[in-house]
Amino acid sequence: MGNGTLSAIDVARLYPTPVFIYYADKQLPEWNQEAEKVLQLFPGESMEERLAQLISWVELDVGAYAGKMDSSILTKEIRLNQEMRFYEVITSPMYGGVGEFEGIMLVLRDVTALRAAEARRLEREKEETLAANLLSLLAPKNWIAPTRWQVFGRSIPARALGGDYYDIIPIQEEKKVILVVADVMGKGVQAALWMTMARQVIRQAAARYRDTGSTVEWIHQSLFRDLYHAGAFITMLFMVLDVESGRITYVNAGHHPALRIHGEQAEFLSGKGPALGMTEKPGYTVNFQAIQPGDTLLLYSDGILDSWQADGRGLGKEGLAKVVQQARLLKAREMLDGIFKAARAYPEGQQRWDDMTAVVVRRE
Amino acid sequence: MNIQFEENGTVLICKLNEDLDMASANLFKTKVEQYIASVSFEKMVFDLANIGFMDSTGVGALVQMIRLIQGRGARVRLTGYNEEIGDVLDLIGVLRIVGAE
Repeated sequence: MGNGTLSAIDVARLYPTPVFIYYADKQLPEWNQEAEKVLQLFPGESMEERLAQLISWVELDVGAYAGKMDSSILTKEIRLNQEMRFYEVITSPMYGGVGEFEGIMLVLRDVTALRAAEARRLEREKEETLAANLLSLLAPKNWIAPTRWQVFGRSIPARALGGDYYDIIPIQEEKKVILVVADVMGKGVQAALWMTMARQVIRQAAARYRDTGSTVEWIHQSLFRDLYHAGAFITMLFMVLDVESGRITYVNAGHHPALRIHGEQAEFLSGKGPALGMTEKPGYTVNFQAIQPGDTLLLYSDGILDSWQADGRGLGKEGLAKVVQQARLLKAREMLDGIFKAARAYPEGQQRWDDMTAVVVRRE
Repeated sequence: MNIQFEENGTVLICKLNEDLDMASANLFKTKVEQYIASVSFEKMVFDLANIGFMDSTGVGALVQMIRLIQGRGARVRLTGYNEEIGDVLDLIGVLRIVGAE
């Protein structure tokens, strides 16, 4: 050019993607180094033959762009060895200084990886939606004994599917209520499958309930072998509420302790043992406590404690105790609202967060 | 996953320099499995001083490696973990399967 301005092909050489420049007044185009690699994908004895194949592949008609201002975009595929590759083809008309049509610029963008990722995402979404629909059918019902007890639970998975699980199971003609909060290692479909299996086992255990210790032992025995061999584990807080006396008996298998609010006092209930699947002889201890009129009990998953706040720290046990204490006079459902609002104080999607589950027990 | 291995007599030290979570757990397992396949040791130390966070998938990966090493007849020790990670390892029962020294 000599006058300091860059020609179209000079610009194309700076592009990291394949570019072909077809001039209106020339038979052969020009192309950059990346485009050279694309040409090698087409069969042909000479470069002219390969170019002819390329034109046919992208359905190019240079003359058709004369007088047009718009670019066209289409996606084309080509087989390379045994693998299909996908290119986005962007064709734009070029005009000179006085508005004369000079030709077209053809830019190719390899979108194979993007398409594969998109296909995987769609497949995963489909799978998760199906499973989430199934799981929503399995969601436990809240339990209320008018003027005496309110038991409300809620679980929000971080993805379409989560590894958290809670259950509220009235037994013995509603003289007792089994409360469970469990957290399966990991996330996604695999964790959800473990969770469904654990739910099944826990429900079976509830149906044959005699006492808390032997019930948890049965759950452990039923799940241990599968969990151990898969290298997985489930943390679980298993609790039985005696409706008449307010007494609770519970076993903690590697889970965060329940929080009891009595008057203005907040207390995390003692008792711990290894998570399900961790060891063959866990030696679980059965613990006893009482829920008195006016008391609140909270069972929760680690997602409630760990979810990041605006200051970059988790809500933590102290923060949770404060939230529940402040909400102690509210109804169970409103208290749940407050807990989830506090735990999700930061903008969604901007920070790491986990499945969140909580069960509130209020004695009136 | 940034991991360093150091052999000190019969002790193999595995230093983790990156959080152990869902994103890094598989690579952590692969690197440990590959390394220990070709060396002999009596004790393996996982040095967790440089990691600030471990999610449940990360704990699961660590548990699988502990079992693999114990299955070979070697002892395992965890060192350097911060209070938060220590609480999680204690709560879930990992410290119990490693045992005190």
